[in-house]
Amino acid sequence: MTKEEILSHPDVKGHPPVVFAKNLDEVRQAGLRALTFVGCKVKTQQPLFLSGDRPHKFGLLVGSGGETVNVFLYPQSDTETQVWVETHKSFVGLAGQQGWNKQVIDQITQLLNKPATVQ
Amino acid sequence: MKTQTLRASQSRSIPFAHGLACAIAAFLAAFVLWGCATSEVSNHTFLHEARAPRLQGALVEIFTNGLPARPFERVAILDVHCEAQFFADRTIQNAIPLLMKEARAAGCDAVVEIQEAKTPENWTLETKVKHYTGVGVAYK
Repeated sequence: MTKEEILSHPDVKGHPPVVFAKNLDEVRQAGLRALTFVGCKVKTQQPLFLSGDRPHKFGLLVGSGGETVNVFLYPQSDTETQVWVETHKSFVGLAGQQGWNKQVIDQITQLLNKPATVQ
Repeated sequence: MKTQTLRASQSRSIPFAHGLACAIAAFLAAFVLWGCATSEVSNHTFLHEARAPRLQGALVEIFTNGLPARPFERVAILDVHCEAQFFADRTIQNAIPLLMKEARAAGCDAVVEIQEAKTPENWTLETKVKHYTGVGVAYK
């Protein structure tokens, strides 16, 4: 996806971004880890777009999984990155699905606030 | 007379065959449900530049405590997310094969600094979530 495609995407257009005071690469790496953290199998890794699916799981009542979580990234400057996260639910197993936007944003925040791994 | 004997034998084997079929069906259903009741996903993110993956089955050392005695370089952060029904608990033993898989994919020789991350208890209605992270290293 190009920068223009990001800004015109229905999941982004008209939605306020969360801005992180980190460069694009750092936020992208945190976004990638955050997708795994909420149980998404990462399917798409592009410079400005990440996407993952949560595998379906049968449950005693409703089960869970089946959601697709998209992360859109836009470099506001060299040190600031805008992020949008949008969860799409699938028809199969809809009752057991939920939004993961907040959890992904929380995890990106947590990862970016952590000190870097000892080199 | 011979026909009657055969019929009697067949009639005795029908309940046995029916029971066997039911048992196989129940086993398969339990197997499928167990398989679908758990899921693990994993990924790796490079700390610096990407490295070529190692061959499938290549030896990867796991350090659950301490660090390798040989000099090494930290290459990638490895993440493993385990999610299972409450009756199917996941432990570090379930995560280790996936940490090794990701280490190979990231071109690493060993995994160090394995930690269990805290995840909220109420993330999903019916499943228990465990998340493990490790650092993939390559020997110099």
